[in-house]
Amino acid sequence: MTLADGIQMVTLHETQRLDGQTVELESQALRVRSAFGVLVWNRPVAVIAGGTRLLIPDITRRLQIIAYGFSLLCLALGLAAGGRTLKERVS
Amino acid sequence: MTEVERPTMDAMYARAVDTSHAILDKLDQLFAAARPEAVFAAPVSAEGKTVIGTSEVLAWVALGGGGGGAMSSPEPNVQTSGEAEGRRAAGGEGIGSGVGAGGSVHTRPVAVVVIDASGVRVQPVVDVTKFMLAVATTVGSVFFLIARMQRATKSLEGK
Repeated sequence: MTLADGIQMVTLHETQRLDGQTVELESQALRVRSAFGVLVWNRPVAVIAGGTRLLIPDITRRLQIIAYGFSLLCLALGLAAGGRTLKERVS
Repeated sequence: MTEVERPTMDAMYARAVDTSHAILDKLDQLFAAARPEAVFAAPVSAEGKTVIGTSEVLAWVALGGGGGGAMSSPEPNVQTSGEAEGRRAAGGEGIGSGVGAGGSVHTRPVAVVVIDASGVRVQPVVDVTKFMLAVATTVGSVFFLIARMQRATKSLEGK
């Protein structure tokens, strides 16, 4: 496998026959390549079985985004509150 | 008397980039992470059920290098072979270079695909450690917000 220069987003499929059922496993890969290095991020996306596409949810990532998003909001509000009092003190 | 062509900085840079690409082409073989097999584990069957583990894979390699040299010729690109040999023997010129690289491969379980007689279903996997770290950060941020708001309130009351 040779990666071309630049950023690539590819969807990959792998078909397997298990317990008499044909299951297609879908994953998505982000490949970044430059003269200074290579980065590959690959994650599972879905399972296709019997015409049904079952998404693979990344619960940990969702919870992290919610928690860190809320943290950032609290930090921004806290900093804004401090800034306002400082402005009021000056005036 | 024959003349010896010295490499220019551009030529040396082009050679360094070619070497970098050659190394990266070799590293591509390491990057099996880009294949679906890296994300979906081999199926395991037991008690009429087949289970496939799925995980997220993040792999990266970065490299860099540099080099340089010193030559005491008055002409930058051309000199006679006799002079060059003499200077080399006397240690009047030198060139050096170095390359460094680093990288990591990180995997995290995402979900488990269960296949049995009733069909196919996906059971998510929650990484409790990562979640608790995020919760701890959130709690810290909330305390920060409360402290700032109390200070702001006191400041307004004192006016």
